[in-house]
Formats: sequence, C-alpha cells, structure tokens
Amino acid sequence: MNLNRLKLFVWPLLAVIAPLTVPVGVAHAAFFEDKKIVVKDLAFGEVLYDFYQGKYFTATVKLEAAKELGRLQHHSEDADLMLGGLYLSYGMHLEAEAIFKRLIAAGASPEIHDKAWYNLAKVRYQKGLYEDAIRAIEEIGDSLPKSLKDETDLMMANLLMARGQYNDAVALLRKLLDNTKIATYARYNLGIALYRNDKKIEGAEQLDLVGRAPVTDDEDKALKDKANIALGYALMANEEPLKAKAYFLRVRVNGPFSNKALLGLGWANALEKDYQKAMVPWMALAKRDRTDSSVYESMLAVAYGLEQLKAYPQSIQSYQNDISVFQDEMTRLDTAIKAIRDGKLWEKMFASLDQLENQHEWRLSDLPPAIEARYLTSIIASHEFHEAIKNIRDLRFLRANLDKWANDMPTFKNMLTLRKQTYEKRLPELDPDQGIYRLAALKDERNLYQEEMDRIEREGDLQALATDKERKLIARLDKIKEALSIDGAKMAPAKYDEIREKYRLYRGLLEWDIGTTIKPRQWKIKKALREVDRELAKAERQQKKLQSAKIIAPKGFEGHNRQVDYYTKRITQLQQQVNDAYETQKQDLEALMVAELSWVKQNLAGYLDQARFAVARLQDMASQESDKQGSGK
Amino acid sequence: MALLLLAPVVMAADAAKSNQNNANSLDDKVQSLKKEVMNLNRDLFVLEEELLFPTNTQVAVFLSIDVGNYFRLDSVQLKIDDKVVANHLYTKEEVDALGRGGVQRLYLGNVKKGARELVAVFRGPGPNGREYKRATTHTFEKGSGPKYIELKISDVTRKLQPEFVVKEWE
Repeated sequence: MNLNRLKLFVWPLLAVIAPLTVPVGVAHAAFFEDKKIVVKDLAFGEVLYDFYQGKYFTATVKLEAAKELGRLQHHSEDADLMLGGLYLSYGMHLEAEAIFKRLIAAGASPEIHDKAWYNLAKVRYQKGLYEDAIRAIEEIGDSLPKSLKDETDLMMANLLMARGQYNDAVALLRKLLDNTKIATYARYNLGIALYRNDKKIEGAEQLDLVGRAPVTDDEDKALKDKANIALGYALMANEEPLKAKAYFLRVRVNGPFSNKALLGLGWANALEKDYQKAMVPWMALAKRDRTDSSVYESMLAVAYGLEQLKAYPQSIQSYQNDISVFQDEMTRLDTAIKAIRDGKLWEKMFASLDQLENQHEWRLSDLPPAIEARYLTSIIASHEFHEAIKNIRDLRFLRANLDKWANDMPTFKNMLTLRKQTYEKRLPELDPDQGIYRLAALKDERNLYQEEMDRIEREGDLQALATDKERKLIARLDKIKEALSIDGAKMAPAKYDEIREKYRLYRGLLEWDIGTTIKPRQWKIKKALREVDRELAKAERQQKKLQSAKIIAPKGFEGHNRQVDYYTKRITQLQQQVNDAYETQKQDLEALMVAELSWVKQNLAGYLDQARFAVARLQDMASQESDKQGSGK
Repeated sequence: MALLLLAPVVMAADAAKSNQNNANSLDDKVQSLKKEVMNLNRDLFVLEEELLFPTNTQVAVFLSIDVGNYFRLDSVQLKIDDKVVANHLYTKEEVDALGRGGVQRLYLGNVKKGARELVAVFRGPGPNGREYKRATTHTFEKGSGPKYIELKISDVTRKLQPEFVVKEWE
C-alpha cells in the first residue's frame, strides 16, 4: 500500500512543475520614470506631482482637464504618452491601448512604439489574457532595450507553452541562457518546457543545472530549491528514491520549499524501507507551523512510520493525536469560513485603507484573527487575489469620490442662485442701454473735432493751431495793427515806418514759427484723436459686452443650472453602478477564499478519515492479537 | 521579484477558465467605471473652476523645487494682503515628488483687481541641517485675466544657500 499512498501524497506536489511567470513588477507609466522633465506648463507639473505620489486617478483627471482647458501647449505630446502610462498604472489597459494606438498612428518614435506594446503585453499577461498578450508582443519591433527584450522573450516563451507550442518555447528560452539576470528563470522554464514536451531527460538536465548553480541572490536560491523539489518528486514518481534524496537534500532547511523537501526525503527513505531514517525529517516537519499540507501529511506519515516499525501503541497514540489536531483545524476553518460569510474579512482592511488613493499594498495583518493566513497562502500569492483587492480598493475610492461630488452639488446650486440674485440686483446700475446713448453723444463730439481739423488743413488756418502763448502774441500784434491803421496818420512818418516794420517782422517771425511746426502740431492732434477713437472703441466693446451679458447671463445661469442637474443625476447613476461592482467584487473574492478554505477542509477531512481508519485497523489488529493470546492460554 | 508571485501559466481546467472569464468581465466593467468616473471628474473639475474661480478673479499659486540640496521643505505658509490663505505641511512623498519635477498647486482662490502683496514663509532644515525660515514677498497686479504665480526653491551653489524665487506666468 505504501507506494500507492506515497503517490497519493506526491502527485499534488508535482504541480510545482510549472513554468515561472516573468519576474516583472506591476506595469506602470515607465515612460517618465527615467527622465527628468523640464516643466513648461504649470498644469503638466501639477500632473507630475500627483503621478510621482502614485495618485494615478487624480493625475489622470487633472491631465484630462488641463487638455480640455488648453493648458498643455508645450507638453501636448508628453501629455498623451503620460495619459497612456497613467491608464496602465491605474489598471485600465483598454484605455491605454486606445491611446498608444493613437500615438503610434500619429507617428510615435520606434522606442515609444515598442515600449507601449511591451507595457500592454505585460498587463495582459498579468491579467491572464494570453492571446491578447501574444498579439501585443508581436507588435514589438527592434527598439526595445535589451533587458526588456529578454523579459519579453521569457514572457513569450511562457505564452507559447500555454498554447502547447513547446518546441518554439524551447528555442526562445535557449537564447536567454546567457543573460545573467534572467538566466536562472529561463533555464528553469526551459527544463519545464522540455519535460512537458516529453524530453524528460533533457528537461531534468536543465533543472539539475538550476539546482546545482552557485547563486547568491535570494530569488535564485528559491528557484534553485524549486528545481530540486521538482526533480526530487519526479524521481519519486519514477520510483528512484536514492536519486530523489540527493535532490531533496540540496533544498535549504529554512527556505520556502523546505517542508516539501522534508516530506519527500522521508518518503524516499520509506520507499527504501528505512523507516527509522524516514522518521527524522517527518518528525522535524510535524513540529513545524501548520502552514501547508506537507505538515499535515508528515503527521500522518509519522504515525504510519511508527506502525511500520511495529511500535503499535505509539502509532495509535500518534494517529489519535492527529485526529485531535485535524478536528481542531477543521473547527478553525469553519470559524474562518463563517467569519468571511459574516463580512468580517473587510473590517480590518477597510480600517487600514482609510480611503487613501495611493495606498497600494495589502498586508497579511489586514486579515482578522479568525481568518488565518496560513490556510490561504496559495490564494494570497496569486495575481487574481491582488487584482481583486486592487479593484475593491479602487472601487472604494471611486465611491468616496462620487460621495464627495454628491455633497458638493447642492453648494454649486446655491452658488448659482446667489450669483443670479447678485447679478439681478446690480443690473440696473450697469444699464448698458444708457451707456450706449452716452457713447453716441461722445462720438458726435469727437466728430466735431475731426471736422474742425479737416477745415484747418483745408484752409491752412495756422492760427487755429497756435498755442496759448502764441495766441496772446497774435492778439497783441492785431492790436498793434489796429493802432497803426487808426493812429498811423497822426504819427511821424519815420516812427510809423519803424513800428510797421517791427510789426511785420514779429508777425512774420510768429507765422514762420507756427508754419514750420505745423506738422508736429497736426500730428499731435491726430494722435489725440486716435486715442479718443481707441478709448471710444474700448468703451463700445465694453458696452456691447454688457449688453450681450444682459442677454447671455440668464442663459448662462440656466445652462449651469442644467449642467448641475445633469451631473447630479449622473453621480447618482454612477454611485449605483460602482456600488454594484463593489459588492460583486467583494462577493467574488469572498467566494474565492471560502472555496480555498473548503478545499483545505476537504483535504483535512480526507486525512481525518485515514487517521480514523488507521486507528480502527490498529485497534482491530491489537484486539485480534489479544484474542489469539487469550485462546492460546 | 517575489517568488510568491510566481504562478503557473497553464491553467487548462474549465473551472479556472470560467473564473478567469468572470474576473475579466468584472475587470472590464471596473475599467469602464473608472473611465466614466474620470470623465465625470474632469467635467466637474472644469465646472467647479468656472463657478468658484472665474478668470477675472482667479489667482493660483504654485510651488516647485529645483535641486534642493541646501533646503528641505517642511512647511509653507502663504499670505495674500496679510491674510493667511494656505498652510501646508509636506510629507516625504510630496517632497520627493517636488524634487522629481512635480509642481504643487498650493493655492487657488479669488482676488480682486489691483495691486496685491503675496508673502510666502518657508520652513525646514537649511544648510548644515539647521532650522531655516525664510519669507519671500512679491507684489503683483491682478488684472482681468487669471493670475498664475510660481514659488520656486532653487540652490545657489556659489553661496551654498537656497534661493526663493517668485515667477509670474502668462
């Protein structure tokens, strides 16, 4: 029975033989991470401020609003690229794709083209949209940096394996073996691809290379452990315990795969019928924290080993202890399932989220005490779980955002009412019609000045352009002229001639002065008239504005009122839709966790049955033995 | 590259596919809702500015940091015509975002036409890590259009001191 039983334990563990995902982080707006931007529009700088703090929603809204308001004159190209990156960061790959396609159609540089498709491929891959991811990778050209190109090839190899195209995956992976950064991953996946392609020996050789590689990095160490575990269990399934032990012994005692290694090592010894030796790793494992099924299996294995060593009372005792532990664990699982169904899952998490936009991490401590993380390790490690948590957090943020706007709408409405009342109160004071009449009178006055100027020019009336001082001199000269004409006859002829000469001289000088400066005088007046024209035009514009405001303002108030009413309705609709999605996402995640806990419970129920059956069998054996001894007496 | 994130790619089981499809459909819905709420926010952002901060009275004050080796911003207080209009205490993330080229809109408000006086008081560890407080005064003319003012903290390497510059944007 022992080999069959061993296989029962071993087969689920063979699930470790799976390709590794590309070692990449969450896709984000990588386009702006590595270059210093000189901000030429304040609005763009404002977007960067939020983006660098991880406030992707706010940054996107501000960017869209700045575009709408025409505030990104110097960053229009950056803005679209940034928008695509922000959508990616905020988990909106469909929007991101639309933007990147637009950029590419508009002739984006090959570097941007390739980086855009690379990011899209990565997000789709992480979301499990494998065919879409392949389509995106196929769009990538030759302008991707080497590190990203290799990462893309590793991703493509996994996608090809998912399609069952192992030969293509193998060819791609072989090219990556000289890249020190991802060589371990590539070799591991190469081993898996070969193994799945029925080239088990070649696959094992590659995994063996990973399992023996001298590594210092923690991730590579874990990968090395994983390769050794995979090989160890493959050999166990092939009934080669001696070889398997060598691989289990390579696994680090305190690494994440040590439980599986200890269990496997025990079974390898058991396969060789060396139960004394098998007991050592099993007993060590049975004392460990119950973080995975290996620990429960080791508990059963210890009891089974004792039985094989014919220590029946100890074996029964051990099985009975297992029964008690399994029952206790099942009770705990029931409590956890009930806690989830009662909505307790969210209490701590929501308290810690505090509706912060840029809190992206989920912590184990967010689980309530009743729901023990050790039962959920595989779910918590999954991308699906983190995506669900992210959606819940984002929907919660959207809900808070909509609630805020819903509260603001009445304020907008009050403000519009107040503004309308103020306008209606002030309107009579600013009567634009009266202003227009006043303006017409001023225009008439101005035209009189223009006519006078035209007459002066036409008639060459120099005196009309004389200064005050010159006018006084002209008046004096006119008096002298008059005196000469009245009193000239009474004067001595010589004196008369002298005064008349002087009069002519001064008159000539004055007219010469005015005549030679007439152009600047005319220019000055024309300039003054032009200024009057400008002021009148400005006043006319303002009056017209006032007049149109009188017509438009009430419409503006009405328009704004209609907008506020429309947005109020829209907010209510969106609140409902967000709430529905939020509840669905919560229920989906709860169902996922309940299913996982139920699966653990189901396994435990199986272990419990085995332990109970073993106890019954051993007690039966003991009873038969006792009966035999009794009848012998 | 946490190993915990490593998961098998190949999930052929129908149940897994169905879960994935449900998840994708819900994910698509969440994406579409995000877009709807973003569009609404954009429209309301524009409407809010139109209603609360009309261009003829609008004044916005921005803050940026260029280099910042001689001063680490802890807080800023902003006064316009001797009235405190903004106070801000900076988190590490905000200072980091400013250091990388982000620009913070410190104040958006309404100011009447005419000559106005702006005073900004910056606090934080200065050269040699000593507490540093510095005020900058700027007089500006508020006309009929919106007024954008940038407070810029930069380094004067020659003096090993920070410099606080005020710039008016068109």
